[in-house]
Amino acid sequence: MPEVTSLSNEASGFGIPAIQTVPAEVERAAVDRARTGDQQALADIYDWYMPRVYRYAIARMGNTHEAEDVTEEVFLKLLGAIGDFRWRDVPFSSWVFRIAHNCIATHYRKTAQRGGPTAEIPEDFVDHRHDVAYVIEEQITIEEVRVAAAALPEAQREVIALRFAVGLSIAETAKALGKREGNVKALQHKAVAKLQKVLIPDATGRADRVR
Amino acid sequence: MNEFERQLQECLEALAEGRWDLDECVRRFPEHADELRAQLLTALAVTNAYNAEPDAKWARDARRRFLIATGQTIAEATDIEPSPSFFAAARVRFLLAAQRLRQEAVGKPAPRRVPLFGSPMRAVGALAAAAVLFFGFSTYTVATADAALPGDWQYPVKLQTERVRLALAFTEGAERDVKLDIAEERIHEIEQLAAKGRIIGPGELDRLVKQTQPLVEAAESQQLDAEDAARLQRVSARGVEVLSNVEPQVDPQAQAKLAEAKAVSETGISAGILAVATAVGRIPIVITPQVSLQEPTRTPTPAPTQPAESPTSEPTSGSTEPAATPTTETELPASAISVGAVVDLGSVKMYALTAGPLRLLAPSSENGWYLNNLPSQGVPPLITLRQEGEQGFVVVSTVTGDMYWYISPAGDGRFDEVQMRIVRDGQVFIADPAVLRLYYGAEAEIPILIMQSIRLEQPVTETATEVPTVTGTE
Repeated sequence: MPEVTSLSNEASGFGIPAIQTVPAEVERAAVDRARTGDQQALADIYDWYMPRVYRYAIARMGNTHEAEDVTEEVFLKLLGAIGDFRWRDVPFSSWVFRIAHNCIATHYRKTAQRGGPTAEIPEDFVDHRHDVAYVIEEQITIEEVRVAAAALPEAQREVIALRFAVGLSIAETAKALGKREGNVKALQHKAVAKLQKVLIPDATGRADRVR
Repeated sequence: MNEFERQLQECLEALAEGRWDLDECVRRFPEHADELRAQLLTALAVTNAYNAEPDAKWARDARRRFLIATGQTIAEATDIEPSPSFFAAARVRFLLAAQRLRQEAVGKPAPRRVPLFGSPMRAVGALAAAAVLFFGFSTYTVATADAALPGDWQYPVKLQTERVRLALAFTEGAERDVKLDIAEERIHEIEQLAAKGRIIGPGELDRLVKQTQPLVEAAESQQLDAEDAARLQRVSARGVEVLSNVEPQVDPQAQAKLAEAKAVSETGISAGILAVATAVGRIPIVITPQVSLQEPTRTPTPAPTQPAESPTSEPTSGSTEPAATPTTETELPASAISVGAVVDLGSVKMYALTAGPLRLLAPSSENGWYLNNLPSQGVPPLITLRQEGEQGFVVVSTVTGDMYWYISPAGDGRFDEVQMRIVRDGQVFIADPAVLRLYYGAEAEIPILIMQSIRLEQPVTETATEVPTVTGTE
């Protein structure tokens, strides 16, 4: 029944996660149907976006349980709000991650009120990372990235998550965060430079020059 | 953004799109080769690190939860699920279908009557609560611990116990509860008697009628709250079910009583549904008119669809197009039915149909619909639009605009009776299209279009209109 073919860009070589992306017109049609309550369309959208939302949540929260909770919350919010989605405002992907951003912000606020720090990634965390070791000899674990990313300012962490965990474009990221593209690029560069110093310190002796 | 950052950005995009690999990036921008490689590796490492896949079991469960939520949300949006009247209707439909199956088994097919609900009123706050209520007592079990049946020596004791319970029910609500218990117990007894191979006499049936009737009347006069009304509906539905099951074991002398008991139970179903819906602020359409389901006598008449390529234009051709009505074999005159412009709705071609004060869009023969049973003169009280292949037909009253749709989903000659539109106290109620689609899918689209297009002109005096054209001549 769903004749939508999912195009995976897994083979791109960059190691962008195997995100199901669909042709824009297919997504548009599905979103339009979903806005009228078409259950199959909603299911399609869920299937296309769930892995990306989950990765975003993992990138932002670093904790599988919280990521799972937030992911579910995002889609319930989406369900309630999709009737109000308008194409002229933002791309659909940006709209989805704006919801995700808000859910996580709310989550952090609640956590802060409870006073508890978010839990660590559990020992038994199943790491299903794709094998791109041909580029990186030494795999950097999610925990290392999380620790390094924790030192970044919030805005930079956000951009990193949307760009590298979700795979949004600069333009989509900008729309999701309500920032200008130039701003997003600047945040990304600062973040990558800082992460590089922490994660791959000896990759180049000249990395310090990059600001 | 400085030059290096521009290059880095270009490389990131090219990598993401799969146009370049890392080496290609470095080769293109050799002046920043080291920094570029380091930062691209970082981006890649971060991407890789974040490339987590959710736990398979959680993903499965979460998806299921989401899909359930979509169902609920859509239902809320279309006002289907939280409506007790919808549940009640669905339940009735299910029970009647079950009954039909049983009757099929004993070779006595009967038409179903399907009350469908919808109204211009929308979501009412109490709906969800009422739905909870409605299901709250689905676990209700027959209250009596006393298993005595009519004919048993303890049975009079049981009846006496019931009288005591009634006497001890001090509030109206408690009293009604007991009465409902009792009515349900009578049905249970009849079922038990039949199961034991005993003959069901007029006495048992009479007790059932006498003890159910006051409840039905209370429901009809709006004295039941939603909870009691829903339970009455359930008990009555159970009654209908049991009575048709035990029919072969009913004393021949008691056939009249059996019919009476069935009638009371059937009334109890609709009265219960109506009372539930009214109690939560909705006025449902509950109509079960005795419209004959016999084959209409006249042969179908192709609807006068001109392939006229004037899909959107002039409703002015009214003077010429009516002449096209009697196109075929039958003796159809222009009568008082006139046909206006064709409206092309894409997949459906509809034409404007006027019959006395009634105006509607009727599907054309291109979509397999035909006008049926046209009278030789005057305005018929009912017009029938018949669907090719005997799948269904639509009956519309030219006086009130009330509309019934008969559809035979199985194509086996048995029809669901679907109440589409009704005028009650001057207010128009139409069936909920979402519910119709839920039941009948795409089959419902054309009847929905008909339903939504029905208009009634203000009544005019006989002389003021030329509509009954033939009347004047004869």
